[in-house]
Formats: sequence, structure tokens, C-alpha cells
Amino acid sequence: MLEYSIVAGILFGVFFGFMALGLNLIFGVMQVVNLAHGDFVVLGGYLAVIAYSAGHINPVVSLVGAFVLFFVIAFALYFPVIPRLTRSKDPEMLSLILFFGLSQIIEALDVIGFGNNPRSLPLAIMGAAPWHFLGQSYQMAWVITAIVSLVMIGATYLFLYYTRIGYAARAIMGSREEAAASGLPVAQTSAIIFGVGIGLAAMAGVLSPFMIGSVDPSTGLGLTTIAFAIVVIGSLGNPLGSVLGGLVYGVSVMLMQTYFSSWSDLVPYLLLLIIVLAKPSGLLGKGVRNA
Amino acid sequence: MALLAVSSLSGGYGTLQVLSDISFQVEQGQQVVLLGANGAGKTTLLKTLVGLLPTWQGTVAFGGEDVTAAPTSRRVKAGMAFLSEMGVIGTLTVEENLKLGAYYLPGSEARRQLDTIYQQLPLLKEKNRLAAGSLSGGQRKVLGFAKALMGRPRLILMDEPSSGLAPVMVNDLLHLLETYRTAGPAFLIAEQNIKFLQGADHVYVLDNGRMHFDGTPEELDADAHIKAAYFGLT
Repeated sequence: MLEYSIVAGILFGVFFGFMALGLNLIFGVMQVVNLAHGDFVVLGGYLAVIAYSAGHINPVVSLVGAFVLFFVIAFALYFPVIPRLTRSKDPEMLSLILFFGLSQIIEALDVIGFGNNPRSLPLAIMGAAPWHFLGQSYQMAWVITAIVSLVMIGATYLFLYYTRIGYAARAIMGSREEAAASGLPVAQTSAIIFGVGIGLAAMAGVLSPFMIGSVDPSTGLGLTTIAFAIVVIGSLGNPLGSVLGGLVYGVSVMLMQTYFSSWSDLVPYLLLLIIVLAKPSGLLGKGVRNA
Repeated sequence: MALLAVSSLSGGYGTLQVLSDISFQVEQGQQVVLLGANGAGKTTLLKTLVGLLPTWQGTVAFGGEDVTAAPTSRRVKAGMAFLSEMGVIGTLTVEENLKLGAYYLPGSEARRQLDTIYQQLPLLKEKNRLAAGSLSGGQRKVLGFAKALMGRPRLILMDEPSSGLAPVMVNDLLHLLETYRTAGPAFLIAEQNIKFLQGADHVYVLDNGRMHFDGTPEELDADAHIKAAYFGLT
């Protein structure tokens, strides 16, 4: 049972780390707390469900469509909304309120568009045979989801460290003021990161029915909470931290489900409390280089 | 034609006016010192010149081109570099900070410039993979200065380079400035430390957001009134 909890915890952890990545990127670059993060994940989930039920499109294909579509939506949303926030005296607080509102709007639109019933994808579309490892077997869909998540985390890392835009994004994360003083295109870079962050959330959403069973309009809030806990555990504003946070969360939640299953919903809150009391800057908090 | 020509400029933060009717010039290759006490408006003026704050009234011309409404990126492309008090980004490595200064140079030119800087300042090469935040205050100033040089600017605006530095390090910094002066860029240095007057071509004194003196260091030295009023020197 212990091996099972740990291996499944790692598979889930990698996925949840990926799910939280976009939240962390957006916070890191523009100090905006996207409380609608989970709702964008849910929208990605609906996209996958509808693409599969209406056109038999495999979720792996939907991943690409979800990223492109939500990148464009978020990029367009950026200009009327975010510059006003970042110019204000308290962008964090105002963004909490604004994105809480956006979250409510998306939830309401979900109900109108897709109804209240949970929607799911059959696990078997990712391969019916389970994966055997150390005497235990795991759903193939979990393994594939974890692999896709790892690939996307790696791609995000390469984007941040080996492209011009990623480099500008890291400079802005380090100091928005100093980046602007150096003449970097702060607004354009932020808009692209906003698009990437939400595009990644929607991609994680495409895979989410395999990991959380189903999506319904109210799923978003819980996912935002989990993503938030993961980001704080890893360290706010450090994208690599969310991978570590995801692993800590995934393994903890699986151990709880195995040994104290009725307590497992408390895991994100407990971890949040522990980390805020013990190491408020997160596991990879300041003092550690971002590379 | 002056490299930087500012005429009747006013500006400030939000709705708070800090600068009024400021006119001055920096010629090619000159070292110009903008002297003023804390709160005189030095930082506000530099930030307005580089486009981080809007110009309310008046004009800013750089290299003969009117840049009054241009964003910072365009002014940097045109050859302005702004060295803030902080100067570097602590979470990036030394080399990443240097490359930041050459963001708008073509890749090959940026690499050549990086090699030149490493030759001139071997300390930075030694530490090129360390986070800039792990450097000492003096090393960080050197890095900031090198970062400003990386883009081959025609004018470097420096905001209080001496702040937070021990006197002996201020001398090192002055020495570094001296080395680079002959190499080309003009410097506009906002300071309250009068040590920076040595070697300066021109001095402006800023007080309460207005220019109160315009002349050479020798003329400033001869002006007992200004010296007494602003620097408590007799």
C-alpha cells in the first residue's frame, strides 16, 4: 500500500504541479492572483470532453487546441484588464477581487453552456491495459497524463531559460521596475506570459478528467485552492517551485487517502498552514537561486 | 547639436508635481553632474528622461530626435542607458544581468561586448554564474555599471552611484568612471556626493524640482552663495 501511495502520489503530483504552473507564472510576472485559475482548468476539461464526445478527438490532440485557444483568449483579456491592475497601488488585493468576479462569471457560463452534471472521459481512451510497477498496477491514463505534464513542465523551463521572451519574463519576475528601467518590453512580455499561464491551465484541464474523475461548473474553486496551496508550498513566483509543491501535495494526498481517507480533502489546507508557519517563503523561497 | 536637450520640462509622480521648468543640455562625451540633496527631484528627473515617468510639459530631445513621448524601450534603442540606484536584478545571474543591458543589440555584437567587458572587469567573469544578489554592494555597483555599458550607449544616466558605498569604494567607482570616460559615452550623474565633481565638464544644481545653478565645477566652487545654501560648505 505504501508503494502504491507513493507512486500514485508522484503521478498525481506531477500533474498537479503542472496544473499550478500557470498560476505561478502569472503571479511571478505581474503580481496578479488569478482566482479564476481553476475555472480555466475546468474550461479545458469541457473542451476535451466535448471534443471527444462530438468528434472522437483524442485528448492528446485537444491539448494543442486548448493551449492555442486559451492563449488567444487570455492575450485579448490582458490589455483591457491587467495594465490597470498593475498600475494600481495594491495589485494583489485588487486582482483577488477582480478574478473572484471572473471566476463567478465563468462558473455561471459553464452552468448555462454545459449544465450542472459532472462530465467525464473514459479512462480507457488512453489505453485499457494498466501499468504494472513494483507489484502494483496503475491506470495507463494516469501515466500518460504524468508524462505529458512532465513534458510541458520541461517545455516551460526551456521557454523561460532559453528564449528571449522567457529571459525577459524572468527579469520582470526579479524586478519589474529594474526590467522597465533596462528598457525591456514589460507590457508585451506580461501579455504573452498571461496567455501562456492560462493556456497551460487549459491544457492541464484537458487531462483533468482522468485525474479528478470529472468536471462540473463548481470544480474550479477547489482546483484554484489546490493550485494556490501548491504554489505557496513551492514558493510564490518561482515556477520550478510549483513542481516541487505538486509532488509534496500529490504524495501527501495519496498517503492520506490510503491511511485516513476521510481527511484527505483537508490536505491542501493543512499543507498551507504548515508551510506558512514553518517556512513562509515556500520550500524554494528566497535565498535559493532560480536556476 | 547637443546629445540630450531638455527644455522647460515639468513632471512628477501621479498628480504630485516634482519638477518645474527644467532646461539643460548634455553634449556628446561629456560628464555632467546633477547635484542635489535628498528629495530635490534627481531620481524623478532621470526617470522622466528615460521615459519611466511621463513628461508633463516641455520637450526631451535625444540625438536630435524628439523623444518626449517615446517609451523607455525606444530611448534605450536610441542609445540611452539608465543605471538605477539598485542597478541589477538580484535573482538573475551576473551574466544574465549583463545581457539585459544588451537586450537590443544583435546577438553577435552582444557577445563581443560581453567579451570586452569580461576582459576589462575580470571580477565579473569570475562570478558570471552567480546570482547578482549574492554580490557585495560594491561588486553590484560595478555590475550595474558594466550592464549599462553593455548596450554601447551614447548616454548613461546614473542615479546616485555612491549610495550605500563605503568611501573607499566610491573612489574605486570614480576611477572606473574615469577609465570609461575617454571611451565614448556621455554621463549624466545625479549625486549628492561632491566627489563626483572631479573631472566633470558641467554641473547643474537641482533643488526643490528647479534648476538653481548651471556652470562648470570651477564656477560652482567660486559661488559662495550656492555652496553655503546647498552644501553647507564655506
